[in-house]
Amino acid sequence: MAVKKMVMMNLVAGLDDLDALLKRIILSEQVHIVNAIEEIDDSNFTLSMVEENADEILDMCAIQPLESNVDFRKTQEKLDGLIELMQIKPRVRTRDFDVVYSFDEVVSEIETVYRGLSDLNARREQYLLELEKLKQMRVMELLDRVDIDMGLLYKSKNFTLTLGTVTNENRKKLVQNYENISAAVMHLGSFNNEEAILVVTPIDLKTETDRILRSVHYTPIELKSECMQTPQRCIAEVNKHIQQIEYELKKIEKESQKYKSTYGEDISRCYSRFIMESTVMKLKENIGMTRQFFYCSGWVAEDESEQLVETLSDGINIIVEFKPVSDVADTIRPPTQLKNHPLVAPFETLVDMYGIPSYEELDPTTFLGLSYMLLFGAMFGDLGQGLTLALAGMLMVRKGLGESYGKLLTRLGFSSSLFGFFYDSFFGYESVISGFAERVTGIEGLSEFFFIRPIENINTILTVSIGLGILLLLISLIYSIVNKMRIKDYQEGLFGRNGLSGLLLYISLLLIVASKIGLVALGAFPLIVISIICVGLIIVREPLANLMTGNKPLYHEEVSAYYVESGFDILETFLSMLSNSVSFIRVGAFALNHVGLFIAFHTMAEIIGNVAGNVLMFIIGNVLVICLEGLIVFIQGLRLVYYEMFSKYYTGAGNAFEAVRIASIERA
Amino acid sequence: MGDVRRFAAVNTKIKAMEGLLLDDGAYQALVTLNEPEEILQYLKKTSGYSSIVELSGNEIDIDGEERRLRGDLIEKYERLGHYFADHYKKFYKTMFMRFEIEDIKLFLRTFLRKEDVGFLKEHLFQTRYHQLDLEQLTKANSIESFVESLKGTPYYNLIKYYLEEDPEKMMFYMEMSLDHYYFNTLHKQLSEFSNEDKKSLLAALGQNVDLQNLQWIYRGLKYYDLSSEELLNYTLHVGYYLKYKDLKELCYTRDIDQLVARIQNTKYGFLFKGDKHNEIFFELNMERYLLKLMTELKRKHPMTFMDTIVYMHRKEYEIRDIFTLLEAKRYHAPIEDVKRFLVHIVV
Repeated sequence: MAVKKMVMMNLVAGLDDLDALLKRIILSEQVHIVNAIEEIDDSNFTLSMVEENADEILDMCAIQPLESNVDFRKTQEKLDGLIELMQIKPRVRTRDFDVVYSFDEVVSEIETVYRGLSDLNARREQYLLELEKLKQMRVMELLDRVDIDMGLLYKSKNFTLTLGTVTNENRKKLVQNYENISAAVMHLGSFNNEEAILVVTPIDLKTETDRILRSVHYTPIELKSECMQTPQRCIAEVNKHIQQIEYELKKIEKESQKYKSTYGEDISRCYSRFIMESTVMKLKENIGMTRQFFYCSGWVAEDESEQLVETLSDGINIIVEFKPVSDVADTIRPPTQLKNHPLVAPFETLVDMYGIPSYEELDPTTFLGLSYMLLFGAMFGDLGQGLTLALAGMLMVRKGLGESYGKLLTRLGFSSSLFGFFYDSFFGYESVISGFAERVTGIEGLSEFFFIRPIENINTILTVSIGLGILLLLISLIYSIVNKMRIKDYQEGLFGRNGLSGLLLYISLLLIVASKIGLVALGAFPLIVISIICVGLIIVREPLANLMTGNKPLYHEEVSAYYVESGFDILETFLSMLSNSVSFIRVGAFALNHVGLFIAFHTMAEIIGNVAGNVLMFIIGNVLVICLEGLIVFIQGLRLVYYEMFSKYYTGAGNAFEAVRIASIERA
Repeated sequence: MGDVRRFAAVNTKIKAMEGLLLDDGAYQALVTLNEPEEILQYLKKTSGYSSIVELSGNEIDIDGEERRLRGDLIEKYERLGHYFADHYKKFYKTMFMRFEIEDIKLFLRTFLRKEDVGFLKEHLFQTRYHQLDLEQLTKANSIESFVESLKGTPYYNLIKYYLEEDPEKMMFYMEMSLDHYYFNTLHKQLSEFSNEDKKSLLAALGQNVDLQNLQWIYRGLKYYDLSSEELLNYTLHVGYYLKYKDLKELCYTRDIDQLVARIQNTKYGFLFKGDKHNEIFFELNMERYLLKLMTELKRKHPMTFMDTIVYMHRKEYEIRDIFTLLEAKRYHAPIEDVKRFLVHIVV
């Protein structure tokens, strides 16, 4: 229901247990790591002065970042190669960490398997290389109209011949300066996105030509013995060769499948441990060490801290201290981890979209979730369509297409169907539900007092939606006051327009309006007095707050400027109170609109006048309404919660709690 | 008038950042100081550098201060990137390629001098726009393995051809090849622009290319004795005043004095102002010219990308001037000489 309470964990242990402990931290998925060196520099990292901590404390002055220069790129390449060769889909599994092992063992295991497969691998690599070269030789296809033995040309005594590619841009350069170039250059055509050229140069000028060719980034193509004959025959032979190699490669693939059954499990295990090692490496960047000990800090949820210590200290000697947020320097802010009732938890996505609550703020998820469901349902009330949406949401969750959005949709769908029931609307048909209900219960005229069809009660619907809006705004203002008082912002919390004064002003204005239209019988005079006092407080809020807290100077800008600004501010306050409240009329309007659209489709169906037309219009109408109106209502609802409500009370300037962990880990 | 919608925010930001650059008065004060420490102390008092210059401890760490100044420059550029979208963002990213290319050159030079690249680490600044992982590159132990580790980036194909060249020439070839690619990419991207920016940016880039070409031809002939054909192929054919015909004529001039005379006849004759055969002035003249040109273009085309370009150049030249000042003061060079070596013209 709220932002979880955090504590700062400072952990010290012997260097021998470093790897084991880091693994446990990663597997626990409960620690938001903070750089320990910075912590120590800021003197946040403190240990109790007890005898048993003496060594660790003494060592702290010699602390330095943990340096690790292990480069396991080579091992990674080998591992990736093996995974590719055996076509394994590796996953990280917790059971691979149950046994004690050292990373060196993992490396040597990978090496062993790699060596076992090295013959196969070497053959494969060689074939691939050869294939690449052969494909290059296909450049001869560009010469297929020439009926000359290339071997003879290449063997010539006074000229050298070379085939290769340059970019089109560079070929133009050669052409432009052709008169000065010490070679004959023949353009053969496009080859592999570049231009193939044939260059003939006298042997004596070869060095010069080579330099010129290099300056246009010429890439020569090596012609093997196959090509030392006429181009046509060369191509035929090259293609035959390519086929052979592709056949061989397929054979190798089959062979490696055999190895999969032998080594597949080993490689999967190595993969798990390898990923773990790279996560540990990343973690190590934030760890401080001395000759004997290492120091690690991170945020942990308070209610999980004891259980975490138990997990970590199992069989390992560690010193752990937890510090409450209030004892940690202001420069390091605790991250926010939200914990909400499953009913509203999916709405965290919508909160995150606006911003993550800061640690001190009230978690708005519950309020947002309930109000959003309410607004959506009221705007898009239809039993059949609501259930369709809910079903679609469940399907999304099942198929893994965005779990949080799926759950969101389910909740919105149910809310919509609930409202739809009372709106007496089923796939756009009114009175289907009431008719059914009357038949089942046998009570005549049930529909008149139990159901409320929007189109028949336009005024009620619109009034109720404004009333609902006012209620939501009042709750937002209360949230705002709590949030501001929590961070000790008295100026806005007590005297601001979204603070206590603003709330009182809003209430008294509402009551004035209510008594004017005869809803309540209250004397206008005291309400007017309260309003004027509130307005006065809002205008002088800055000097007042500064006077209260003893801050100086009272004004942070020129006094006259402040009052001009403040005066206009109050005008805007009145305007926004009015517009914010009236804004909720859209809730009713959309409820009406929903029915209105269906009336249009029913009319069209009537014009067509046969069963097929009715069915067609029913389908088109419903699909269109669900997709288009569903989207519009989704956005309008979002607009109401973000703009009318969030802007009053919510800043969302927090950091998310990100526990160090391995993504998509498979738990035993 | 350019695009207000696009540039209102960034140009306002730049106005503010320009306010933090050193002005004429500051330069005049700086050249009269005597010791590098005094320069740093002076900078510490200006609002632009107060938080960058550290000056902590008894020993003044000039190297460290220089590193911080450069780091600050790159960070400032990086932050400006947030103000751009779509093809401007792409263009801005491409401009960061220059830092990458400078980094590559630094690596190459270190290898050629047979020094330890491990020491480069603190001189390299990885930005969000870098394609290269600089940390990873420092693990190379020879020039060959370094070039090999560039595989997969556009730079690999640009320099692999020269590994067998003799070391002195190798660097020149590689530098030309890399710079060529950089300017060419910029030009290609600019050609896709379709508004006022295209005109002004092409004018600036085109003249920059002209100057770059002249420098290559001059150095290629004077120090490396490249053949005319090679020179012509390495030059960029997207210049502003110097077209293919002019370049060809220059490339086929085989006598250095004649070449200088020919360059003096072009619009860029000013390059040899100062000292005819001293390349420092060649480069200084080039930078001063470009800065003046871009400032004029910026005035003529308000609310365009040119404000950003001018700021970037001013900032970069300023940092370079500060380095020059620090160096000059270390060796107590006479004031008049110091003034001559600054990009900023101090009267």
